[in-house]
Amino acid sequence: MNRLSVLFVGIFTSFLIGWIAMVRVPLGQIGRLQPDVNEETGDIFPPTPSGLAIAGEKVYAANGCVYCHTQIVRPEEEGSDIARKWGDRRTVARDYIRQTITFPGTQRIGPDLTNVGVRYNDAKWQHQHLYNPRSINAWSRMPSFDYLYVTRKIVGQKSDEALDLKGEFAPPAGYEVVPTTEARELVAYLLSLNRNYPLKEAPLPEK
Amino acid sequence: MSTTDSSPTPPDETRVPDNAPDAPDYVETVDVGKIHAAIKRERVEPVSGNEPAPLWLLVFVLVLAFWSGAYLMSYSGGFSGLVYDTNAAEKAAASGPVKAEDPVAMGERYFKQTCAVCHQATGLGMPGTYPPLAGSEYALGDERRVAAIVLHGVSGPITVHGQTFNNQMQAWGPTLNDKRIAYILTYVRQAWGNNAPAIKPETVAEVRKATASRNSAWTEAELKAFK
Amino acid sequence: MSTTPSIPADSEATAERIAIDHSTRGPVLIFFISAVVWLLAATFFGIIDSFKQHNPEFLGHVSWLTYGRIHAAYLNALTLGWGTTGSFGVIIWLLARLDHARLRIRSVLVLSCWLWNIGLGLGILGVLGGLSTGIEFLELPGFAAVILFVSYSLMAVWGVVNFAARDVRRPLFISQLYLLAALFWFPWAYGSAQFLLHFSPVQGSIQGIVASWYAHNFLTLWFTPIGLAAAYYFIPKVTGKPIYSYSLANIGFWTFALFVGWNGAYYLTGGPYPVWVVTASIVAAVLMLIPVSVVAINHHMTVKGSFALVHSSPTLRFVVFGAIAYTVASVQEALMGFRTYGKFFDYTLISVAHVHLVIYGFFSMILFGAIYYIMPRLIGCEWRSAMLIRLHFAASFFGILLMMAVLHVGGVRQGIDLSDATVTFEQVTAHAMFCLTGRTAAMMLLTLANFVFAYHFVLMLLHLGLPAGKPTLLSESPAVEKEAATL
Repeated sequence: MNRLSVLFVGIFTSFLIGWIAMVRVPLGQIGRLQPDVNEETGDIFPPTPSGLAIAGEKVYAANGCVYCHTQIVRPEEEGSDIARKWGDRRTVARDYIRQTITFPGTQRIGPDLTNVGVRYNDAKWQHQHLYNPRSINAWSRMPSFDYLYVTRKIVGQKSDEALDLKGEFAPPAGYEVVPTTEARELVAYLLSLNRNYPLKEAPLPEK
Repeated sequence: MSTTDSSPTPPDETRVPDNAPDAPDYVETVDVGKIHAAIKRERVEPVSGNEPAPLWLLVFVLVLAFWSGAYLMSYSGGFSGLVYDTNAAEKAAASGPVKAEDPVAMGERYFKQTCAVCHQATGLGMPGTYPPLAGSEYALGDERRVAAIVLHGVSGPITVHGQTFNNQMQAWGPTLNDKRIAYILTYVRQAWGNNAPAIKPETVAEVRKATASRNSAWTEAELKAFK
Repeated sequence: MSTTPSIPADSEATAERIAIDHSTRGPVLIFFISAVVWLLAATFFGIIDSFKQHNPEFLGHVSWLTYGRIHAAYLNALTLGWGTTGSFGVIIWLLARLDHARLRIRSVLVLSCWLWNIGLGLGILGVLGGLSTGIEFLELPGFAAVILFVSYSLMAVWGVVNFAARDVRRPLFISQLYLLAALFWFPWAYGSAQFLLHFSPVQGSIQGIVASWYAHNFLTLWFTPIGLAAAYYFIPKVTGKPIYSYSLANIGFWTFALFVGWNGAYYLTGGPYPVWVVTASIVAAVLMLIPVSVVAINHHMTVKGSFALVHSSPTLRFVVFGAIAYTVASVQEALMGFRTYGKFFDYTLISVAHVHLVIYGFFSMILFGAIYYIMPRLIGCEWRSAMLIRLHFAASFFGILLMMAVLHVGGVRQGIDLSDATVTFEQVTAHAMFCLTGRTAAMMLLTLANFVFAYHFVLMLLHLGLPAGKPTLLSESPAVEKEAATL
């Protein structure tokens, strides 16, 4: 072998080792996890999200929610996530198997969303918060996603879905603000975020 | 070093554009020597010196290597894909033996999964179709008999609480284990105002054994004559 | 050493260099022009991005201007736009010189550049239009990724053809190793991440591992080797001294190659990933201190004794700043891995600071330095104004320093706040406000720096520089007087 082929083999192998260790081996270990079927209770965890919630992943991705929100609950000894009531237990790999895109995130400009479907289990609240976060928390720095909503003239009866906006956020009289399909998908996704169930490798703490 | 500017143009330089196979049309309109001044005044292409690697580097590498091995071993989680905590072993030890289950609470879950479709979560059944369990003389009666009903099912007309039903109940013996049947029955016997003693898994096991040869559902007559 | 350092190379070597530089002119210029355009685009997105962090209602009611999309556009214009097209320009120029071979198949390079720009442009428009994949550093929609991959493949074809045509009698220089490795590693990392995350997505939290492995390696196995290759070339080139130690250079490269692929999962501490993956990555981040310290010594010992040149040569000043930033960023990275650190400071603004230190402080500064060196050789005139270069450096320097200061202060505060569950999120948000405003001030300084640079660059393109001859120096001290003519 001449010097050059040694060089190429070296460049190739040295990197291959790292790639195998950090990508290929974890893929083999936890790349095909099955849902946890509890023999005793018959429960299957994590539960299957609805089709609307799966569609919501795309909306979550498109609007860059991941830049400010994580979806990771760390164990008690590695952060205050549990003390902040972002979850009852740490999250593990099996929690994410039903999601087609996962959003672990790298920033906590906003709070963790792993269990946002438990904390705010109310579609009306979620819609209003997305429409304008400051209509609920004046201090919030989250962008308004009002472009996911339509302001339209009320024809006949006010829609059931119409947001309950007050004061400066309210639409003009005779108008209502209703969610678009994208907003419905996103809210279905947010409401599906719920890790409040036990897994073999991550049991719920005893109350 | 400004002398370089006026040094004679190297012979190579002028034939460059013509010689390069895919040279663009490039017309030198200004003094060629002047335009390449930046390149001409340059120093030699970099080379590497021959200083040896210092000894402390070896020490540094050895220390880091030793530390790496130690750290890797102490936080490897046995290189398992399912260990997520650095202190997984301690946690497992601390959690201790599993807490005894609450038969009524577990029974309620099982009931909702298996029985509530027909008998309803209210235990009232569906008038004319499925008999009620709340206040049912069978549910509250002999514990061996009620276990036998769940194990093998019921067929044909049956009178419960003064109402007659004519339907089929599935045999649950093959799908549900003794413990589960016992918990369901315990729940049924203590929910919706019912108040009868709990049923132990052992009792169900006994009945299952005693009626093992049976392969059809009970009729009302058989149940009336049970034992 | 066969040549006395301060004397220009002999005429034969000079003629060869003229021929080689001439052959690189078209492709390198088109890549540099693209890079500067992307830099301005990134600056534009960056300032909006930064402003939105403290004024969420600013430009907030149009879907394509929402923070989540602008931020993705910013990241991509900065890394795949400015950083990567700039890299290509430097790679082409450096490899041609170091291979001692005139550039072959130049039209392929030009085509590659156009494809890259089109792919990236369409991709960023797609992201703004709501097609982002939502994976950090891989936001571009699938069609754009395919175009980029085709463009890159053309680059690779060129790389192989050109490398085969090199002058085999010459020994390989350390920069060539880094550049070859980068050219080879980048498509591997990009391809495998795209495949495993996008075209055939893997299950659940494996996506998290692959994504963070890629996000980290995009910086460390693409930008880092290119930055180091450039530093390894320009430091000895400008000082006229050989690289301090050949063996250190080799140790540095091979330990880098060995550990780099293991990095990336270290900031996942506490996440839903097997604990050994995180541990192995922490160990790798610490072991990276070996190549980092080796490179730092090698660079330092080479520059030593030539500090007057660092002050006066634009190239050396930017490159040395970048090399120092690299050392600082790498030491920080080793510390960031630890679980005790992560418990407090993972997911805080400190990681934003770190990424900017790598992209701006290290990589962009070296890229600026390289462009300051290369442009006069391609254009045939000198940079018009030392004052503009000084302004560019000062604005970049203080911009980076201010950004590091405010983001670190803000990040530490945020980390301590978050780790105490009695501090409400409202308070956390309020405490970070000051630093986010400071960050916008820093971004404004960087905006100024980038616009000054772009203006100066355009003057160069229009041949409005000073007539070729004497280099544009940042200071005229007597110490450099006699060396000035060789820079």
